[in-house]
Amino acid sequence: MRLKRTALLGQKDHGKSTLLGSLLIETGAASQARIREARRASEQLGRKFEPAFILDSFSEEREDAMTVDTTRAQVPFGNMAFEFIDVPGHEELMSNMLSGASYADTALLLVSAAPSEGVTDQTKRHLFIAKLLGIDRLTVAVNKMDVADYSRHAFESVVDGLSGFLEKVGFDPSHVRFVPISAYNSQNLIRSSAFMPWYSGQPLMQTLMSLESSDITAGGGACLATVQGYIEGPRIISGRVLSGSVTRGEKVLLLPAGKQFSVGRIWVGGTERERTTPPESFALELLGDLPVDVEGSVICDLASPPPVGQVVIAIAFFLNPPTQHMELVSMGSSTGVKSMDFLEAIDPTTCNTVPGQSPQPLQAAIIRIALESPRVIVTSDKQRELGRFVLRDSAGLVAIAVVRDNWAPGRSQSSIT
Amino acid sequence: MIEQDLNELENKSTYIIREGKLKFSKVAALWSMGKDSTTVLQLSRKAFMGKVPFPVIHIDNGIDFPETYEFRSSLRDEWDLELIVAKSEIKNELSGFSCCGENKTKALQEVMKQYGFEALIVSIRRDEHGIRAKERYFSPRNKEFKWNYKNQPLELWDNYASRLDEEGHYRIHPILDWNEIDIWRYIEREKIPVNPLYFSESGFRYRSLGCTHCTVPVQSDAANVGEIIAELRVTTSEEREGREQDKEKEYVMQKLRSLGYM
Ligand SMILES: Nc1nc2c(ncn2[C@@H]2O[C@H](COP(=O)(O)OP(=O)(O)OP(=O)(O)O)[C@@H](O)[C@H]2O)c(=O)[nH]1
Ligand SMILES: [Mg+2]
Repeated sequence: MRLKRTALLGQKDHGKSTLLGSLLIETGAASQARIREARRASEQLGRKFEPAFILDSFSEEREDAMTVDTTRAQVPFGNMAFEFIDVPGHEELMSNMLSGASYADTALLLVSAAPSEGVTDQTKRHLFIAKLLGIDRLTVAVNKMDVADYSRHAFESVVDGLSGFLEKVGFDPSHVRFVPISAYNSQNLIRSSAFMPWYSGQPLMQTLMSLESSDITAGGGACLATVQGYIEGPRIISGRVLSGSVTRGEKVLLLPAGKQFSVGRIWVGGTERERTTPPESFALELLGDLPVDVEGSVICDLASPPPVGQVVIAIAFFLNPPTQHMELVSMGSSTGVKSMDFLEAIDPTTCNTVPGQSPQPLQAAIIRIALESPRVIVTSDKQRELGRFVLRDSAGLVAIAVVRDNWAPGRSQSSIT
Repeated sequence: MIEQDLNELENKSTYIIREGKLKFSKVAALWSMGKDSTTVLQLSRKAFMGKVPFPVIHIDNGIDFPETYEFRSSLRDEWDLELIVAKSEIKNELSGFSCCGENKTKALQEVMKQYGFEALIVSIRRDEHGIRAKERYFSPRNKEFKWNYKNQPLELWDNYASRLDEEGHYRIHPILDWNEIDIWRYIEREKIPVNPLYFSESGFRYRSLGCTHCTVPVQSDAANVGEIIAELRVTTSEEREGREQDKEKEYVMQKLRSLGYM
């Protein structure tokens, strides 16, 4: 069964882990042993039962009642199965949030309707990042309806407070569904809630089920495959197909070297094959005089090679300040960054351009990077996987970014990807 | 228990195993002769043209089951494995914590040092335990083998951390995504040899295998792979219920893992 991968996003304490815990209990996906353990841990800390503890397993997470690192849990529902990815909401844990959310195809944003909670800057940052990660299917769960008297007014004020921003960040409002819930009391999760007769839509899980996901691994397109390196001798390489197919006997181009090769034997899952298609990882023989270093190369059709270059324009979200010695990392291989210009800084909580040359952590920017050596540069709308990268330095992550084709001042607003 | 697409799992796992082998110059896989680590060896064979391209390490405290030792030598011969046996001494009392923790970790540390391994392929799965569900595919460990779980590296878009700290090493987790039932379905599909202790004898079988001291059998009539899969489709109990150390006390797994236990 194919899993629908959904990231739980939103401000710290708005109930992501609690929701996932409750869903695991309600659908019977969590074992009794696991539930008992979470119950015992809640008691030991003198707390009410926290369903979140089914996910938050570190003692530190339980003591501080917050998720520190991402985790995943699978929930069967009807004839489908979901893999929910729980992430920390805290803004200092954004790197862990990215490590989880990057695996998702769709997102479920939580916003608490409790008095004095509501939409926050962090809620908006998570939406901005979701868009940057290529997620365009979104559901919003308006949570903690129990402490908002299950009132329609409280629900609607969250909806109103968010709609403008959703549009600005690039989500099509006609695709976004809002569902009022109480994660803690399991209201409107898999059954309609008697406390909210005014809500005429479907419960949360049914809403998620009806959300069609944009299938990004669909076949077709020109042949594109990435190369990991030599796995045996000087001619058998391994890698992964991103689009189109690689066929035995065919001539292909290896980039950035720009050389032609014939495809010899192909193996997928250890079995010899005539061709390989996405998202398979393959071993294959290239016939000809191969370069010594093939790591990070791209295999493509002779007819439609993607551009190779040394300048990249991208929209980036910064977690740390940029430094002098950075590298661009994409599909497991890295290239040194010679220089970086900031074309425009963007505040992810408003999507507006802000003055200032060097973006602060938790800010975004349109950047132009000059690379030390050429590589394939594809915009993310053409090929999602090749069109995105990480900037890092010796201390670790600096930014995540997606490639854009060009930039004109002021154009960045409302067009993140 | 959700049954996932085996081809998709296999593709992802072979990609990770290859990435591990290519990013580090000296790699080894831990092999307990259990179903998970044997599955990883099969995946490694598939990833590398039919032969496991790195040594496999058995941390042997001398009290594994006789069936396990027999299985070890027969598969070693059949698959032409480069087997390293790391003898682990049982010094203190036979409790899960010091037995599986201190003793085995010590033996592993010695063997890592002796051979200079930079990365270890370890067959943990997310569905086994809440703490294991927090792991990355590539996870750095420091010199003392400690897992800095409060500060794990960024991992996204096929970019795995691989920068080695002085004298540290990486743990590579190629089957993190697999569920217990997927392992058995894959064993069935690939006809992977398995340790006979997993099959029921007089109403009992081992569902998760450790050494003789800390594993107890569970009630079951499943006497072959197909019957195990059928049993898992309806079971409500946990895989590791027959493991002592998990039950001993809250956070034992967290402690063991943060100290570098496998
Ligand atoms: N009253 C009420 N409390 C809730 C509800 N959902 C969650 N909570 C409580 O809100 C607190 C925070 O919930 P969590 O699930 O840990 O929040 P989170 O979004 O996972 O937070 P981080 O992991 O830090 O990002 C807990 O004490 C929950 O019991 C709800 O529907 N109603
Ligand atoms: Mg949480």
